[in-house]
Amino acid sequence: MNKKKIKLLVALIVIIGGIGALVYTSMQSTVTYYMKPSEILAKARDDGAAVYGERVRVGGIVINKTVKGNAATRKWEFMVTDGREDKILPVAMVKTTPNNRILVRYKGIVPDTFKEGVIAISDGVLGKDGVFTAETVMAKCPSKYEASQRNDKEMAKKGAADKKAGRVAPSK
Amino acid sequence: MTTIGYFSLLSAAAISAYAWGMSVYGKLVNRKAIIASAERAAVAVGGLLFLSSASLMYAFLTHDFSLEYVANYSDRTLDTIYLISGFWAGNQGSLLMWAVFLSVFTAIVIIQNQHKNRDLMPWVTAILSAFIFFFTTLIITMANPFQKLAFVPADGRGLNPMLHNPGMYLHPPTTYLGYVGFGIPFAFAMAALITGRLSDVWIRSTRRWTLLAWFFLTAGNIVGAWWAYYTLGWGGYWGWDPVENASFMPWLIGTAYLHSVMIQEKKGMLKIWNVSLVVLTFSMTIMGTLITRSGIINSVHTFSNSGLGPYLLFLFLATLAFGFGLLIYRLPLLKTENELDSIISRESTFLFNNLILLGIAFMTLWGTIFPFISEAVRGVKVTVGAPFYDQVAAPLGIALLFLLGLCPLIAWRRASLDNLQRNFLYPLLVSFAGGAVLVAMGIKRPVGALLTAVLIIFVFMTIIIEFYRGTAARRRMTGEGYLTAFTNLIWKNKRRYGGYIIHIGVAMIFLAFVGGPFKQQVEETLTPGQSMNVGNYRIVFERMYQYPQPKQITIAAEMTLYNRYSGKRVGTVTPRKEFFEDNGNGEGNQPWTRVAVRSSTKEDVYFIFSPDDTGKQVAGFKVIINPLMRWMWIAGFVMTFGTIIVIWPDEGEKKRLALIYAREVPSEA
Repeated sequence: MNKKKIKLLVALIVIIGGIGALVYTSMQSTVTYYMKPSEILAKARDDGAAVYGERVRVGGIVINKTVKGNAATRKWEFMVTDGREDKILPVAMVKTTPNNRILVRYKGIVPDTFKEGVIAISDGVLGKDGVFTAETVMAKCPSKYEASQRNDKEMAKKGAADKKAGRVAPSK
Repeated sequence: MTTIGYFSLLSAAAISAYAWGMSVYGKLVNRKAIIASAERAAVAVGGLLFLSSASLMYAFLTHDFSLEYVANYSDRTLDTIYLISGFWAGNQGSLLMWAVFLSVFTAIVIIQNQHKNRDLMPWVTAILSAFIFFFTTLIITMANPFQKLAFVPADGRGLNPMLHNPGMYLHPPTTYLGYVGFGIPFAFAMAALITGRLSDVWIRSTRRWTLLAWFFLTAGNIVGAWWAYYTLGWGGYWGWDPVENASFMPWLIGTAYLHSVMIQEKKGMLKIWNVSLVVLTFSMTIMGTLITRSGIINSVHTFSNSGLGPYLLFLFLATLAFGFGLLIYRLPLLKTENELDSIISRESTFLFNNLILLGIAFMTLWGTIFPFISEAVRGVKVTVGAPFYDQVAAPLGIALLFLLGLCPLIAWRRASLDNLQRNFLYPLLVSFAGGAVLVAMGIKRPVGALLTAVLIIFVFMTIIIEFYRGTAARRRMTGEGYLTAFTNLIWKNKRRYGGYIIHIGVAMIFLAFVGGPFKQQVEETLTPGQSMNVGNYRIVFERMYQYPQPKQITIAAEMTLYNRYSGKRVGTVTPRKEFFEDNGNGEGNQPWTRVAVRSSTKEDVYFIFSPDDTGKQVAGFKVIINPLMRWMWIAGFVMTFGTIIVIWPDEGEKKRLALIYAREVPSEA
């Protein structure tokens, strides 16, 4: 191999290697756990040092009747529990156990989609007292597929009501 | 009417299969009549899908709620423009949009090439028709927008309030035009590989298509960011969300492709690389479609878990396999005509530019799929957020910016020390002087931002020097006045100087990035009469009031901004929060925050309003100062303007190409 080719090869290795190293080290230092309430509680029991005080992401359904807060004062408290991402149903407190629910405290403005029954994704820190202090909160609507299933039922009900009231136009 | 829509969709599927099959057959038995028939069929498919789309559009405009899709995404109160946008609001319609755009582009390509590229065209028609067949069949079997409801509701469910925004009618069609546009150079590249005709004809024939696709994808991405900024109301414009990343990766790879084909045109190098890039670009647009609608990767705005995932994954893998398979098959024919002369040359800056762009695309891909891999392989669920992407993108972006400055002035083949000194000494000195000024002003950290600012000056300098030298040379030759010489310089060298204009736009995007680390934000709870301090401003909460509108109640806050130090009144803003009536879809009374932004080229002051919901006169406010944010949107205009210049037809180029075509393409048997 002549000198020029060697120089080019070295340059390529340096650049590609550099990018690879950059990706690897950045991933190591920025990746965060994304857990359900039950998972983070279990992990806290097994390996407390890894969890308490470490920044993690917790995703769970906001339990009915647990939202306390005020949009003006921006102080919020709510409880989340495990949920399947594809099947969201409003959850009552009685259907949860101390092992799969946690209390989240958040100071800030909540997203418009936030309310009981939605998936709340909070980034923050779990304290030794079991309370999760969130720095950010995102709220996700139930998956549209699930929503559209529910909506089809709603539409069917509405259609039946419309038909009864004589509001329906003839199908084309 | 909708029966027309559905049946034209069915016909399009069948006829595209015909176009696909007959193109291949006609080429194999070398019968012009069959090939011509296939081409006519492909053009007809464009017409049929256009008809089908027009029929769906008509259904929206006439409130035809017998169609489930129309009922789900519109209602009687919608403005016309949002009725139109309902078309692409959901899975079914947006897939139809993909198909109609692709088929119309195909029809245009066929008509454009009636007397050109006769050796390539049957394969181009076949490949594009195959994709159209796939999409139309998918739509018919799994995502039919013409699905009827068992009864006709009196009113539809309406369009999600989040989508009542210009972004809704600008962003999706523009982005889709970008995605679909890259299918054309892809098909030509494949045709070139199949026929073994691997001279640059396929690249030259598709240059404007590539630029057009890039134009739309660039505009689509920037409009998307603008939409996120003004509508989603979290104060940012890019969240590294999988769906955003899905749109960013093809753009990066497409940009790399756009540059490296220039090297192939000039020096006959990088042939294998270029084919690989166009295959990757188009495959990534399919992956984008996959990510958005399959639910494989979770995002705050994926469409749905619609069951389309496996089929789109198949299409993605098939495209990659087909593209790279053909490439490997033709490897012996893709010999480079020239070698790289020196690592310090214009060719090498293009090569390094490609590496960095692909590096950014790779890291974006890695970050997007890593959670998926982590869960599948280790069972550990993780999330990869902005910190990862920012940390990797920053140094790569800086390297790219440096190349941007080098590229206009560095010599071809081998840049001598003399060449480097003559061209770059002055710009570098000015840039460092600028840097010193910034440091003296106290802007030292983060170092990345300072370095970026210095390099932005560098880029502006080298481009200005290029314009100056060109204008001066023209004046010497023609005696024209400065302005005439300048305009003619650009007009007679559209590719080069249009390209420089685009680069100025890119430098402006980096300028917007520079503002990022200097963002400030303050949150407070106020009653009317109280004020808060953010940055250089004192902001007074004057009053809070509400007013009704059709189907909603709006609560608004009037805020006055004053310069905190001089007391001078700067302006007023009115952030709002809208509360919608329960529209019977089980979503209840969902509120919608409407931010207010006071924008100047120096900074944006961004207001998020969170009123008390029990009727008390008190509210929470979040005020964010985003320095230099406006440069992002200015950059959008500059880049699109530059691209229009580059694409614009050029008489001189036409003449040169006619000669090349006459020489290279053999006459038809």
